[in-house]
Amino acid sequence: MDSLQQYSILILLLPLLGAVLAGALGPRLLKGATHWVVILAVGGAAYCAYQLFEVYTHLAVHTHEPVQLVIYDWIGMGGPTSWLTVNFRIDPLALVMLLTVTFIATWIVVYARDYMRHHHHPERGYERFFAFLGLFVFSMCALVLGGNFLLLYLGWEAVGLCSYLLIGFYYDKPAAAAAAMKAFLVNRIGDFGFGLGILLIYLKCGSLDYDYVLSSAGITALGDWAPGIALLLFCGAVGKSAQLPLYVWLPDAMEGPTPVSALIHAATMVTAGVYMVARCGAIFVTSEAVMTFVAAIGGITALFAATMALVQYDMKRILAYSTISQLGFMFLGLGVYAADAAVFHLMTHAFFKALLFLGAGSVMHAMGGIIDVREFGGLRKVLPWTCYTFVIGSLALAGFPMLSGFFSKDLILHQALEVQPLLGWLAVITAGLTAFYTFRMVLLAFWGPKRLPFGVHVHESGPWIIVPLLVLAIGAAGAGYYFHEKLPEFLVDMMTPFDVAFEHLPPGAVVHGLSHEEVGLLSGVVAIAGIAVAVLGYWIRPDWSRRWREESGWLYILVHNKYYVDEILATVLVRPLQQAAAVGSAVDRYLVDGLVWLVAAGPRLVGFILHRYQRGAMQGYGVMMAGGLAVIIFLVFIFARVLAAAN
Amino acid sequence: MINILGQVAEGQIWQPTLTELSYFAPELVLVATLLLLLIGPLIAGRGSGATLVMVVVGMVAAVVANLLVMNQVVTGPVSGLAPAAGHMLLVDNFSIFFKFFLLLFLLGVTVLWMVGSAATERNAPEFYILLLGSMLGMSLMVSTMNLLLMVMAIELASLPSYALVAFDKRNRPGAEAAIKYVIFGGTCAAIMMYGVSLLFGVFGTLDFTRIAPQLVEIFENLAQVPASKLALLGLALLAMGAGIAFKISAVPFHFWCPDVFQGAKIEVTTWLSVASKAAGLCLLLRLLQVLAGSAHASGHGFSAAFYLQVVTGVVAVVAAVTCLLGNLAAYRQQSVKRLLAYSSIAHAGYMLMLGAIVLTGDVTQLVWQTVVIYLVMYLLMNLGAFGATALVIGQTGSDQLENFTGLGRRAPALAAGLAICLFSLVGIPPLGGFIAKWWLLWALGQAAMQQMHWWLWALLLWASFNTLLSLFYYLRVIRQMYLVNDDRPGLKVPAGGVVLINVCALLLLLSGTLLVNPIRQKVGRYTDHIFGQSPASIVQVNQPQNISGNQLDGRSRERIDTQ
Amino acid sequence: MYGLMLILVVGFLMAFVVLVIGKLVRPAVSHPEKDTPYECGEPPVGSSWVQYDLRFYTVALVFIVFDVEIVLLWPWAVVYKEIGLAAFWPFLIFFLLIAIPFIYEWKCGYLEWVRGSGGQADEPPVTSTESRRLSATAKAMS
Repeated sequence: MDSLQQYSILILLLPLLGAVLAGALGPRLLKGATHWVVILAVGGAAYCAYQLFEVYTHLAVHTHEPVQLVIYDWIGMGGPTSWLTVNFRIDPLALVMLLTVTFIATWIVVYARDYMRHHHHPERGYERFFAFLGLFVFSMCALVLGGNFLLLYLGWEAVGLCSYLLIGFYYDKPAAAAAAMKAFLVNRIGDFGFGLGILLIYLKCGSLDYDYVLSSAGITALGDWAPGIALLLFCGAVGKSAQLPLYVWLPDAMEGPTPVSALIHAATMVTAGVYMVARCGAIFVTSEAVMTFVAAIGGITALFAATMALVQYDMKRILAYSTISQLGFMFLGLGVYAADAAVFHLMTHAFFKALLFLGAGSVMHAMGGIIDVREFGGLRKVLPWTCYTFVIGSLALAGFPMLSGFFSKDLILHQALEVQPLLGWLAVITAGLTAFYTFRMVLLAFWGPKRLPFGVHVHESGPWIIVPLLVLAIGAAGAGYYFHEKLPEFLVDMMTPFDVAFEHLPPGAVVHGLSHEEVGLLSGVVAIAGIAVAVLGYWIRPDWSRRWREESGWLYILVHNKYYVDEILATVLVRPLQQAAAVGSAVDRYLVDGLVWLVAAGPRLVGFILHRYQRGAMQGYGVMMAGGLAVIIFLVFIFARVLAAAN
Repeated sequence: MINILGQVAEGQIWQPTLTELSYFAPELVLVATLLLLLIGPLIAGRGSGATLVMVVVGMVAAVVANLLVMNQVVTGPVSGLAPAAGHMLLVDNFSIFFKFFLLLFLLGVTVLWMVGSAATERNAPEFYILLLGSMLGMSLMVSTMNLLLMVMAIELASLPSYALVAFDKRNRPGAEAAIKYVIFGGTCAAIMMYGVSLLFGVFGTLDFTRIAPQLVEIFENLAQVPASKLALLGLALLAMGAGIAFKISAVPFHFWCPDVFQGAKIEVTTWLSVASKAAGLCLLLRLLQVLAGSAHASGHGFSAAFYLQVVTGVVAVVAAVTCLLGNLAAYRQQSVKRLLAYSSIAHAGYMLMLGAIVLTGDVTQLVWQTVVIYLVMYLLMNLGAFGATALVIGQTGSDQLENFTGLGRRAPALAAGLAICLFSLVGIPPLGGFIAKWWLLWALGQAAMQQMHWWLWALLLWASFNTLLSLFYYLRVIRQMYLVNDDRPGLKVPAGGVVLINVCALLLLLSGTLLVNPIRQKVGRYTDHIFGQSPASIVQVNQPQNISGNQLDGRSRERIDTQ
Repeated sequence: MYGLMLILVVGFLMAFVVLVIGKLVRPAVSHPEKDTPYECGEPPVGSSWVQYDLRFYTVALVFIVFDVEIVLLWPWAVVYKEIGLAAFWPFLIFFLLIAIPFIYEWKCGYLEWVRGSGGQADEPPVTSTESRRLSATAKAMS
């Protein structure tokens, strides 16, 4: 077994092993030390991911060809359709995802050690939590490493399950249980399309391997179905990555423990959709309309979510809307053929959003579980570490020049302004809004007069929390600059289908507007302007922000109520569904149950009859044996006659 | 290309050489162990420790012997002992597999016995003598090439089994079960011997390979054959089949099975549920294979084996009915032992379906591979399920379903292992049981494709349908373990037993996932050159060469080397 | 087919007809003495459904085993002269296979009419704690 295979298997096995150990031994043996198992496992996975990267880059110095590793055939039985093969695909995209996921996850697990221990739910389900985290990392790695659509789908569903389990972690809290259910159901809608897409791929191609499906032969086999399949796959991405109109679950998902929000609902899992679209680029680029659709969904979601973030007061919710918005940016990037920019943004976003969430968690931790920025303020002095790392993360998110968010957003904006100028300008506005709402939150929480909730003993968190914040802050600050040239270079192979399609766009579709430098300047100015407005309205002249709020009237109310999307969905979708469900359950109760009862009743009746004849009386057995033998003799003669007649 | 050894000219007395004998080293080792167990306790005392040492020594020696034989035989086609009177015994890859299989299972039963009974059982040597005796019989069943030896082997397998069922003398249900077992077993054996004697009367030989061509001739000229002879033949074959069906517990010879399984000690039940059925099944398959191969070989062309489909048709019907009856009757059981007994009947039915397609020339290899995989998975599943039941009986004193209530909480490790084994018995992916069923369905599907017989497709559907049926009663146990809870106290189950069950569960889990491929590759080793698979091999067997035993010695050695 | 059936029918008829003819021909003079089993003056004592002692069977089994061995010894003895050692070894092994179980049976005491204690145990022995308890009870009673 070569080292590629070893490392890729270890990446999967270590977190799984950690999860199993934490789950099996945690409650009895490890108890308070459970975190070590998972920290070591996830850290080991991160190390292996790095080693995998090293080996891979040495293997393919010049070309970043994907390496397809067949780990084992599950059920192949020969034949051309070996669709149940477990294989991994190691290529730059997978490596970037793996490194990001495992690295971020390691620090979040470290962070969770103190957070889960000293939080307002002390000790409850401590082991369970770490087991789920390990399971999540395993599922995500399987999703990313998998070399075929089946593994992608399994990983996709498994992260969904982990997300469900972790959102509902405090299952005795009704809001958490409801949020978990909502996330599950909303994702189901998307996954339905996703599963259908994969099924269609199998039907058209006869294989689910990326190697075949994404090759030119596979795309040819998909034929006219490709755009439709792309749309179905995109359905799944919309659900998992919380885009319009299926974004509603993500803000509610903040009911889960904060490390989970950081890991799953900000940094890694929700980016699965972005990963999938980037991976299936070859299918998506077959139709310009589909790409436009992707870009439009992304751009509109970005703006839409950013406006909602403007008026929220719950720090985690603000961050959740900002996540939706940033994911929108990524899809915009994908839609305008800048997949490398999208993946780059995915990576930088993972750093600063994880940092921001962990910072918010640290605040929540200090405030005894309160996260509403109206309840406290001026925490700069009491939580210095948290505050300054949080500011770094916010600057990165706002796209402040030279920080990580700036570089990646810049790339997306540049290409968007060329391919979809309208969406591009919307994105520029969104970038400004992003800067504004981010600093609105920062200023409300950390600046201004010191206000604390009643009866809270404020304390800065310990090293278990501070160290991850610092590490992630360094990443949030430097990752953009460090990678902004290397990453697109590394991902050049992934970009091939996008580039080819981009080249073949009809003339006139591409507007050569602003140069790279100009866009950089523009986005820097927009970001600084956004920050400046926030500083003005929430620090220097706090009464201004009040006036903005009052003067915007109905608009404020509309946005504050999240555009009534939940209500609209309730009327349009949920209530009819409930009514349909009522009808369905009636049908189920009287018809299906009846049928099931019948199905089970048949065997039960026969069982009852047989029971009567198998009561242990030997004479009875003897008679039946003789009778049976007679029947068989009869059969033999029938068969003999039939065969003789046939020949 | 064959090295059936010891073909001697007519009129000479055949005498085995050491080389020939060495092929039967595993059996000889078993006999030696048996004798050791008889004499040893008189010297070393009757404690279970000393017994265990002797058994383990015997088992290790048998494994080693088997390995040695394997290295000699597996690379070549077939070896066997064949006096001029006809072929007696046979060693080929499959019989070697089967001995490994029995030894592995004996190991499992030994662990179970150590956990459950070793502390209190004072007749340990006798237990093992009987167990090894029946094991010897079973391994002979799979190596036999001769009707007389077949009867002997079945008897050798059965007689110790009867005694084993009644092993616990103070247990009245056990005694009752044993009586039933003896009477039915004796009756079926008598029927079988009657059939065998009729066959001898019809064909004038006891050798399988010489019966088949004559059989084909009869079928080919069905119109000319007098009806009385045909009736006699049918009767004979059926009567012989009855004996085998009894071992497999196929309908309508299954009645003993639930009663005996319920009454016997659980270790014995475990043993019978797998070993006895497996031996019967493999005997049947081997019989059909040799018949088919001989029919081909006798120069009757490929249509010849077609006539044997009379047999196949009956096997298929019996298999289908067995499967359905096992699954249906399991529904209302409250005793888990009995439930598992019916489940084993159902599984016997699934495996019997392979008997129906072994004659389809193109899939024989697949059939044998399926048998190997199915048997191994079945061994693991049943060992796990019965073992868990044994532990529950050991702790609560009874095997009623209600004693499994809340087991998920009272003994989590035990319940988890049992649940995996039960799911595997249903055939839920990705467990070993699923892989076994997958192979089975695949083989049926292939056969159906080859032959284009609607009834083979029907059989395939039937197997799937039965799998669905079986889901419900296995789920009853799982439901009782996990969803019903009434605050019973926790169980202190012996660690050894829990380990055994979880090893089974783990192996099932692995063989459904990671090991699927390695197993597939390994299986070929035991299913290459099954005797009768290539008609050519049988042709040569049937042309006795006029050489003396002594001359042959060197030649046979050489042949093995050149292969 | 018909031949077989003919045999069955004729066989059945022969038995049946003979019985019927006997019934018709013989004079029917009923007498209690004539209705007894063994119509020879020997009065039956008790029921014939008595349980034989299990020990008879053990001995009988051993007898049969060696009886059969004698039967097998016969042809062996006939060809012994011609074959020589080739016949000697197999038979020695065969004999051992019977002799060893015989030794086992002997040592276990199955051949004793009054069972010794060397063999298989039927009843669990009284454990030491139990016997102590028993003796304690005995003391208390005395």
